[in-house]
Amino acid sequence: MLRIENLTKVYGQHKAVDSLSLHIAPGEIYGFIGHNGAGKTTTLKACCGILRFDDGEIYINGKSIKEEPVACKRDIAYIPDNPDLYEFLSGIKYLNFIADIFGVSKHEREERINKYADMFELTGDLAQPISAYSHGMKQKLAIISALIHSPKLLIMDEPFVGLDPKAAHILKGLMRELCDNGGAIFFSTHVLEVAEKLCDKVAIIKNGKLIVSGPMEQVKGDASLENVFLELEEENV
Amino acid sequence: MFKALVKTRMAALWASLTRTRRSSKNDGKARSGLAKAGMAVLFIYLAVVFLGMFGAMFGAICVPFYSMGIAWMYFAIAASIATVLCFIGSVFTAQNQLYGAKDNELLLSMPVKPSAILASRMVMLLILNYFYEALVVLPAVGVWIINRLPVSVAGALCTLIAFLILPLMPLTLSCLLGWAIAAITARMRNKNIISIVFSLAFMGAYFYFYSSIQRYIEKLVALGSDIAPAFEKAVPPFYWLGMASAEGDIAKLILFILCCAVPFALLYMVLARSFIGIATEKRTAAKIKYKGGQMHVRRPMAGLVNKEIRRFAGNAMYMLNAGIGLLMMLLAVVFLAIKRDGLMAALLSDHRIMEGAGPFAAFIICMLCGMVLISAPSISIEGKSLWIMQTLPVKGCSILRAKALAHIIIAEPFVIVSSVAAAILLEQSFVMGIMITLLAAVYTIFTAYLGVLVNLRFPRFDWINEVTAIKSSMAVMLTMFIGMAAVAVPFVPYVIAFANMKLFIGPELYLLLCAVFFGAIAAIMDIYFKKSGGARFEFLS
Repeated sequence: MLRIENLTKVYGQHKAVDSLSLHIAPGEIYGFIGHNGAGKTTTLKACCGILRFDDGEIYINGKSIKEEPVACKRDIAYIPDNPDLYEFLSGIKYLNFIADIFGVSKHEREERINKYADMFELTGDLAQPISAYSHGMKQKLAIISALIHSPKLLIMDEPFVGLDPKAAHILKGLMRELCDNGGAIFFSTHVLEVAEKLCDKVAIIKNGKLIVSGPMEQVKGDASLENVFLELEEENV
Repeated sequence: MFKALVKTRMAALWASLTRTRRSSKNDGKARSGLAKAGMAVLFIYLAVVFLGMFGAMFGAICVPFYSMGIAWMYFAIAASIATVLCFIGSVFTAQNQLYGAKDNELLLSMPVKPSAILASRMVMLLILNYFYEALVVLPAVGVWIINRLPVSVAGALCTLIAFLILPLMPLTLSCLLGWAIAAITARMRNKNIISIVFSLAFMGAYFYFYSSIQRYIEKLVALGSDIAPAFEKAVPPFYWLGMASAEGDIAKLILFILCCAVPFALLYMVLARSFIGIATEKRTAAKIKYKGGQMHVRRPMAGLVNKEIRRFAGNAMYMLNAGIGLLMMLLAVVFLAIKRDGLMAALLSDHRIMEGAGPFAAFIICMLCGMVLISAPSISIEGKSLWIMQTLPVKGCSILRAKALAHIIIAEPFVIVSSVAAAILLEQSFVMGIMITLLAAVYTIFTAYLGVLVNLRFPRFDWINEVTAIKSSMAVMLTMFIGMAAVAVPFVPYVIAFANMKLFIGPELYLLLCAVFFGAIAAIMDIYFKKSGGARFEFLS
């Protein structure tokens, strides 16, 4: 579903991502872990086609994000670390706008909006302007808008930040459901307990370089993911 | 603490003028020499226009007032005009800077006194007011010196002090009105309406004043000595300032300082005490319950255009600043209808003048179209939500076209109605009417594309208040400048040829060629969007 080959991104003299390679297969929830400034967001943005990279390739469903960005974007949905949405629109108008762009039929958008808005208890607030939403409500709306076109690949940057425990639990269920239906998820998080329980595979990045990646059980062994992460961080100082 | 806050504000202002946007290529480096030179030319142009306009006005009243022994009224009038300009220029900025800034909560969470935050914002407003004041006071003082009228040391010092203090008066008024607007609109659902009403009232008053200025000057020159006592009684602070400047009257200067400083200090104390409450108040209107059934399916392009139009219609500041040209267009037509009889008599007296009326009307409408700046901030205003557009499965060029198209859809009805009305009122032929309308319509398309193009080259996403993107960004100023200069390209040769009676082609054909010219440039811009502009947008950051 997502193949990253030797991704390299340089800001001035600083290599934010250095020859990073990853492969995320359909059905997998792939966690992306690293310290602040490790290169996680840069990698995620490059995968979404909103950040040019200096070297390497990214393929989504076999299509190059460089060569066919629009076709790739049709298959993905992105949720950034901060849900800055269009505050001049109401929630429902924002969802309609996203559905228009992705060409979602009236019936499908109605069904999905009703389903996800009910799940996240946001239905009653959909007519409100987004400017009146709390951070958590915006995050919920961003999640609904990401799911409205049934993406094949969901890319998320710290998706649990701002969500209440119930919403976080629902999101975890939706993530599993999407992958069970043949989709894939690539997301960054600092909540290692969540990553440990939720992810099928995990990648740890440090200073732009991939330190370790693979199935969760293989990476953490008998230890906790937190211990493995801290040990790897120490080793690579 | 206060110094650090002011320093941060100044650094942000300086960065907005001297640094490029941050991108993977330049990493937010300083602007190139060429860009700096371009900015300098733009600021000089704007300064020269204003200084020239006020200089001409003061040139007409300076010597007569001095001869009549009412030199004080010369400075008093300069002060009153500066006050009005500062007030109009800063009232909505005050509202947004003081009560609507997005970093209010962040700063309030820090160990900073609210009074220091307020003071730092007021200092920035004061600097803005000094800028507006300089546009009036510099030509006033310059004209006085050029006319070699006497200047005493006491008078010069008093003038300097008085005009340094003067902006406190409009600042007090604009902070008060800003507070009133914020309080009134706090719980209103359609807060745009009240902002628009306030703004239109100001603009109406300003344009009324501006259109009557020649009449006022003539009256002032003729009846200056009669008006002076009434002026003195009506607005004593300006009389005190005038006396301090013209006569070096220290007592009057002290009175004037007290008159400006005491209300400002009182207001500052009141606002400082209530700043947390005002800045953090949840401005929520009654909740609107979603009842379903609001799904409207659109094609992607229609969705993009609809979103742009909604953004424009949902922001009073955007509508007023970017759409002022549309309002002026309608006002110009109303003015034409009122003055039609006199104008037609003049036009019909000479068939050559009548022949030039159509092209002149077209060029005036084009000039007003150049003041419609809907597309110019449309990229910058995306701000932190830029990621949405960039992750959608649409080409960058489609997004840019949608921004231009929204501008065209909003502006064209005003442009066409104004053009047709102007052609009818000026009794132009059917063909000429078509040509006027065609040129104005095509020119609108040109300016729509131009705005997007300029904003694509000069975007800014690091604003903390969208007023920065709408009102004072490089893209907006540059678009207005280029748009108006572009009208001059075909207009100046026409005027020269018309004056020398060397017109080789008919006026209808000339307007058609102009329309083709602007249409061709718009087409070239569209090709640029397709070839590389769209890709540039996709990776803006």
